[in-house]
Amino acid sequence: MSVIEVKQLTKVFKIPKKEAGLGGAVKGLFIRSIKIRRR
Amino acid sequence: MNEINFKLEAGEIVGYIGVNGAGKSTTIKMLTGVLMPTSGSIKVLGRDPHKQRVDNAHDIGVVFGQRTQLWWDLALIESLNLIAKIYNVHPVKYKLMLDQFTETLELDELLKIPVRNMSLGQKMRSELAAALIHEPRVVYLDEPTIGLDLIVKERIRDFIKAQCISKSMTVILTTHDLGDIEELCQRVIIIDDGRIIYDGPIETIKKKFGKFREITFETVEDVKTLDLPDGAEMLSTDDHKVQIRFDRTVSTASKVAGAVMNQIDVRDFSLSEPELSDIVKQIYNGALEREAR
Repeated sequence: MSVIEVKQLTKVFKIPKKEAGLGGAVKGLFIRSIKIRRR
Repeated sequence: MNEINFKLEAGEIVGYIGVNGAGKSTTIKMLTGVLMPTSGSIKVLGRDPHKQRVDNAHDIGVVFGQRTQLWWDLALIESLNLIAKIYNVHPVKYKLMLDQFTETLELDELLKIPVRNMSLGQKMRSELAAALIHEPRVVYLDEPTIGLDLIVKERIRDFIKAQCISKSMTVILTTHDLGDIEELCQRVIIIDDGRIIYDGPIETIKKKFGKFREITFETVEDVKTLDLPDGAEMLSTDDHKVQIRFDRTVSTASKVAGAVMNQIDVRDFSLSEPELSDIVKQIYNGALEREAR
């Protein structure tokens, strides 16, 4: 058996879209707080 | 990164190379379980590194040349003691490993020094000890000799080689240093823009692309023309300096140097090897495909 086996390995980095202005900042904080709660 | 495939057997040392941003560190991060792949599969010692991250971490060692895993303000021995505890290394085994590493890496005088007071070479020797103290079966070395002088580089290469042979360690080595690759690896994987563009023996690369050497002569007087042996050509001549390139499969450094010194007075000369980055550049430019035709 191989020590390391890598098959069809693909990694795509998604860049999160940022919305400008105060609305975007509030939305960003809201999404972040949901993510923290989920952890 | 796009559809990377490879397999490594026990005891293999593989050079994983490519320019900055090619995807080397991303691969290492996925192999260590820090990053999750978007698609495809990874098995390290039969485990999924991301899902079984703790088990995976137990059997791997990592050295990042540009980062430290040692505690900056602690003496090296304190860091090593702590790492041994974290990895649950048996005290007898730990003592044995520590003695062995102290001798081979010459750590004796470093054990009581805080990491922040160490030179780059001392730090790298300490990093290696920290990464291997729990006897990992797989080791990822990311630029382990970056910025080090030749003597320290040599010591570190010898150490890695000896560890691999005695413990059948599997090593993935990412580096820009052709010397590291030549000294340590039988196989090399070249990655460019997230794809593998070459996976095979280092010998093939060396034979095809590493056959040229350059000699620079510092001369007493300016030189216009020279009679050179077959396989050698003058690249430039300027301000008491002559640069000659030769194909080492056709001629030798001594033949070229001898021919030049018979014709002109030489104050000094130096021999340089091709940079790995130049070879990689040739491969990027389709040199391998041209060879295959």
